[in-house]
Amino acid sequence: MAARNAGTARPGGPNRTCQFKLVLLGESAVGKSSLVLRFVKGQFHEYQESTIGAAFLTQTVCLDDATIKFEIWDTAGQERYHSLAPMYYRGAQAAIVVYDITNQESFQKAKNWVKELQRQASPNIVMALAGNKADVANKRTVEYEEANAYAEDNALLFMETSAKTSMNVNDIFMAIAKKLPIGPAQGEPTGTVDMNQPQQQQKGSCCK
Amino acid sequence: MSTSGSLEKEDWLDLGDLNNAPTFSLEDALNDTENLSDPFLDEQFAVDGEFGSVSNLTESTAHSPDSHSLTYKLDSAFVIQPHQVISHQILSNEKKTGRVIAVAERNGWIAVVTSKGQLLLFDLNGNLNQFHRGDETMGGASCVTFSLDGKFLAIGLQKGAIKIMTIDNKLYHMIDEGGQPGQGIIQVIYTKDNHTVLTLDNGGSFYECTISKPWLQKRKDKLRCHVSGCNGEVISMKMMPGDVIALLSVHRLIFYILKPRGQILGIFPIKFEYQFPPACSFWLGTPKTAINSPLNSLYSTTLKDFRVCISRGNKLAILRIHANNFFTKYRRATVIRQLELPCSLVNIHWMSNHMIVGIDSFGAVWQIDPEKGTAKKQDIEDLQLVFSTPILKGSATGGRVSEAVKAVAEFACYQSVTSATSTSERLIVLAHDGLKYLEKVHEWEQLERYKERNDVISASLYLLDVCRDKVRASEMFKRESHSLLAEKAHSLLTETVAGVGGGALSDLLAHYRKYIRVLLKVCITGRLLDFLYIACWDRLSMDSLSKTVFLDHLDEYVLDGALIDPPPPLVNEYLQHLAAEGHFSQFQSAVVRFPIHTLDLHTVMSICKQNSIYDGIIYVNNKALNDYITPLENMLAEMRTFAHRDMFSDSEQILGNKVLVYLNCCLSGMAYPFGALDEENRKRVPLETFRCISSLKEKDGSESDEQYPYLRLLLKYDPQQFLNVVSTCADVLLFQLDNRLQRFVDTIGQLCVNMKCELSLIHFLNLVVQLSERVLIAPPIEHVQDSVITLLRMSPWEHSSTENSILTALYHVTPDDKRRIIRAAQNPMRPTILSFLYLNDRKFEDLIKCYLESNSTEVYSSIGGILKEAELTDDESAEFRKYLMSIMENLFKIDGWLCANLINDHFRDVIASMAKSNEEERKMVFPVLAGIAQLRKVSNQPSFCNDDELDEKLFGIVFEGICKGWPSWMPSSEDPEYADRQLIALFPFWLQLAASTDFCLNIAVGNEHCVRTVIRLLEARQHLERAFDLLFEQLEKNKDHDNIMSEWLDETMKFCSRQSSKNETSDRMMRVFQFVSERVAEFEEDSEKQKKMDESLRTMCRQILSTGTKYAKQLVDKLLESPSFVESTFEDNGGLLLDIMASCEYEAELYQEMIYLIREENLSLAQKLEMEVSRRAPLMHNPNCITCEQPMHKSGYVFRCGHFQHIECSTNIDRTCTCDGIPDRLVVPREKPDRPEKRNIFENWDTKLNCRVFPKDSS
Repeated sequence: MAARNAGTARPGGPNRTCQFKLVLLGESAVGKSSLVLRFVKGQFHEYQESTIGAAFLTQTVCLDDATIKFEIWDTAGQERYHSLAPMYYRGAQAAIVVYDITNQESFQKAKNWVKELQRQASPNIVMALAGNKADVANKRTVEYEEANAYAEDNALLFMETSAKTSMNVNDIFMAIAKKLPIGPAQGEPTGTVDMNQPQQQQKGSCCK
Repeated sequence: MSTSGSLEKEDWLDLGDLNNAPTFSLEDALNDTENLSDPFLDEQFAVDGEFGSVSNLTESTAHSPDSHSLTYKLDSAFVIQPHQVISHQILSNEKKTGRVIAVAERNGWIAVVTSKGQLLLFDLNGNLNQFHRGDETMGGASCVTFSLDGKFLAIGLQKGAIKIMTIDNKLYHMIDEGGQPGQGIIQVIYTKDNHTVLTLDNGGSFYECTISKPWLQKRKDKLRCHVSGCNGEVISMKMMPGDVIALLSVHRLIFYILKPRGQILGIFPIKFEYQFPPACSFWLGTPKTAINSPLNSLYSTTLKDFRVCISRGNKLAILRIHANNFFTKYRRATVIRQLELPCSLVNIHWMSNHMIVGIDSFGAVWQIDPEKGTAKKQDIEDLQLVFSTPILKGSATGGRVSEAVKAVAEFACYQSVTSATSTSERLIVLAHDGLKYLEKVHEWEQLERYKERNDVISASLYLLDVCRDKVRASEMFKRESHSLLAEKAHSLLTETVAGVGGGALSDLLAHYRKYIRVLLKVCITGRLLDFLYIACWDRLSMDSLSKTVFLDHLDEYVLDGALIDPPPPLVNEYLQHLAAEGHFSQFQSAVVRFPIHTLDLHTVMSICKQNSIYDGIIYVNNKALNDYITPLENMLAEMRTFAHRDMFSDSEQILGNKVLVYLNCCLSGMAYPFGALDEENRKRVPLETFRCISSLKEKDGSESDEQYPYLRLLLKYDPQQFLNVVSTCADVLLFQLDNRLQRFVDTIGQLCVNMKCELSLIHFLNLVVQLSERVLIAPPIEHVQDSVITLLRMSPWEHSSTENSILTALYHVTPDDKRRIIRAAQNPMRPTILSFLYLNDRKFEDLIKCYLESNSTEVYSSIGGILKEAELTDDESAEFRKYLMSIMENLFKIDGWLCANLINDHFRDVIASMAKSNEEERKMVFPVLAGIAQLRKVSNQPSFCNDDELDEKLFGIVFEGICKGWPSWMPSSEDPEYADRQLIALFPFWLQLAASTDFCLNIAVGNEHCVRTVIRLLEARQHLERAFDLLFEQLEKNKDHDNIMSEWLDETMKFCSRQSSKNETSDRMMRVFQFVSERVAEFEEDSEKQKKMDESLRTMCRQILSTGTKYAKQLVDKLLESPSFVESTFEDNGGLLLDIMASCEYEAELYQEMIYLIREENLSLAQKLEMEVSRRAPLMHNPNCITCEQPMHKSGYVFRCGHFQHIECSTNIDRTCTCDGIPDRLVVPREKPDRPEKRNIFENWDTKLNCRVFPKDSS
């Protein structure tokens, strides 16, 4: 993803706003859209319609020293859309791979997604693994320890979440935001965009 | 000051102010019983969640392999090597020398002492170098130790003496009492000065004994008691680096230094599992190259990585000691880890940086990883340790030992396990079957063992893990591991091609699979690719079977991109193998992962074209021909054949998705399907691609007049995904230059409007919103407006998201010409969009007008919404309400129920004005009033406007409307009695209002089908006879219709029940009874009907009887006339007869009670009267008439004043005495009768009458 930044450099301060592309991946009906809906609008629908293609939403979170604007691509989990996923995760700076803690198969699919991201996405992508539907832990088939161990082995952020009770929903996005490179590595484009500057002036390599 | 510190994390060794520390003696520390009740101190540290993580060590530390078939098993980390020579000597001479008790080692000497007090000194080869016969009177030996310089030996004896021997077997000095008098010595250690021994006796006392030899004098020993047993009960001690002595007491571990004057450095609680002895070991990190030796550690001055491990039973803790902080006020130790083991340890030894060896109470050996917190029982024989039980129990001193020592005596083995001086990786253990070494197995030994077993697979995988740092190994071994791995890979290849000696083909296949998998893993993961590409491939490709297996197992590595620069023959063989096997999906994934120069382009392109493997075609075009557009155009041409369809086949779907992803990559300057383009292509490809898809005409000329054919095609195929492609690429440089994105979006907008495709228009609007939000374009107002209007004109919408998309677009983009949009939204009516547009401009009236024009029922919710949520100003509110009042009649007409809700919520003052007199007007307001009546009923408000007169009128309209069947929102029915039922349904709540006048009654009478309503109203207005007559009339009228008559009979009986308090009830019931009994007679032939009627009659009988026994005789007569009764048994009708009898009996009793009461009341009155009569004389002052003064011989009046007057003399019509004229003096007021106490005749009210006589069921 090309980087566009302000031409006039300004010392980093608390007002800098960075824009990151985040993609949600995972099997159908694991709660990707619900997670996003909870994060963006604070809502939860018991009967969420299946996502068609992909949905685009934005949400801004504030860190101590920066404001992060997430451009979220909520992808469809159905198999027929699988081949379109590269379109959304290529160039993404962050990805949340979601599985359903009550569905072992969805965890296996999540592993496949992680593998695909490791092979084909940006090498610096921040990946998180979310075990959704933690509110029905009594029906769990994927143990926390198992998923946590997998996440540790693959250097993923890991949380069990519940879009229904909003458990860990904001936390996982915040954890990703904290892990994203707000300050650019020297000579490397970050893919972030400074929202404070006019569009025409956006050149360079970093947000401020 | 806390004497023991706290158990707070990382704080337990703080002793507070250092200046106070010297005043705090060892005895104080040991005797700090006060602090034993300290909750921190008493708490078992392993369960203290705040104290640090506690690991459960039941998990195995076995190496976790990548997959099940690529596993290997590490052998035990330790090996037990019996020292045959020494073992033989000590066991064969046991009778003579006594049982071995303790062992010590230093500088190549092994000292063993026996139960007979003898010392055996061996060299490492097992040669008995010295032998010292003990003096049996001094008791057996209990412990032995070398001085640190190895020149002296101290032997502790069971009766309390200590012998200091030189290494050449001379008695250097004899300490008669090394501890408290009468106590045996259980441990003795040398300090670094080699002249001081520290002793422990079995009374728990801790002594320091310094041996000195003044000039020309005899040697002297100076004994100093640090702790006496009665106070401390120290169980064991251990020398640590930095002159620290670890004292293990019954409750705690104390770090203590002797000099300058005996000071405590810290205390750690170990108050758990008393029956197991506490154990302690330390680790002092050394440079990687140096061998860690316990002896050197004691002399080391660099105490950087100083860790201590303490165990007791199944608990184990690891501490880091901060030696620099000794004698400062800073923290002196930190708890690193606490573990809970599945066994009870009795001895531990820190063998290497990552390994602690533990020996449990059964002699099993455990490997504990202090960093991972894991433990694994080793698969080696158990050590039959020599325990010091008899010594610690004081068998030589009469059992006079401390309780603490006695408690751990069972499993104490401090003296039978000692570490080697030269290396920390060896323990010397005294077992019942001899002396043994317990040693760490080195990597080389492990490898050697695999070799011995001819297990080349395990050896290779083990070396691979060492190379990849997956298992711990020494630096030296790691350095060698890669070359060793290369050797093993050769061995593996040799083993592989050697095949199986003979047998079935399947065995050979299994053999190849087994070895080739490992070979591939070892070569690829172990970076032995050259060996793989040349040696392995050359040799394995010779045999078709091994070649197939080899190629089969390459898939995973190819997908991981692990094959770096593979040879073209291998690649082509692999791809052809995939194609031949039909693994086209893997082919597609694989082909793009090989460097282009390794591919046979002709073969690859042929396979790809034959099998529609677009990824391969794209890859070859991109990489070999540097052509990015041709594959896109070809795919688009292919797509044209099916894009117009609603449904796609799987292959079509795959192609379509591929086009979109490829387009995404090309536009954003990325390689397909992954990777990056070079600098030149990164500039060129996006622009070329953009020009291609946005070209006005198709590549092959102007066959069609259609403009922008590719854009149309993509929009037709999947507008959402295509526009998502645009959105995901929108911020690339290509689009930012020359205002391309803006122009591109404009073009798309124009096309979407032209195509009039709902889905395209929706997603175009979504795209505009997304890009506007991201400040990438200026919203194309005209196209948005046209798109919205086009969408609004479509009807019906096929997608649920259309309205939302329009609203979102209108929210983000303010249209120039709202009127056009409003007009479009009015026909067909789009209330939500209209609301949005008008409410934005606060044109409330206009919005309502739109609704009214279309007679839309949405008008009510819209009005409600405006009133509730639009935050109207006072002026706006007044104006809007005024407008609404003006259109209220229109609102009445559209939907009565919704209007009723609106009025009920917001316009209650309108209700009063709805009491219309004109019938047409009444008809108009009727649905609204009916709705209001319903709403009021639900909210339990029995009034319309709190005005009785108006309420009557308003309800009258509702009643009339229902009764006359005026049109309304209420459901209607062809059934003529439906209105009657509706009215009856109103009554439970509105009856009072309905019955307040004859208005409703008259209307109901007007409808011949509203009989029930009429009866209910008559009853409510107390016209009971008329109501009953009407009911009876219905009975007679419907006597031929059993079901209807049965209903009316029920109605009648209910009516009678309701009016049961009236005297007339029994008359009415009797009338009904007679009617029914007559009917019964008619049903003689139909037993079913007769049975039913009999039941009704019985019920009626009971009801009649419940009102009195007036008709009891007639009832019995009628019953006796009834054949069913006459012919029935007592069981059938006994209940009824009993009821009759009970009723009569009850009534008789009631009469008797009444007579009794009357009598009692009258009796008192009669007595009063009698008394009054007897008081006549005192009443009369004068027996002569006050008028004629004649005596009382004729009839006359006696007045209260006491005068008498003849009747004939009285002229006053008031009958007053002539003395004062007070009226009614004659009438004596009746005094309140002195009644007897009332009896509670209702005492047994709830008791059934018949039950008082006989139980009903009794036969």
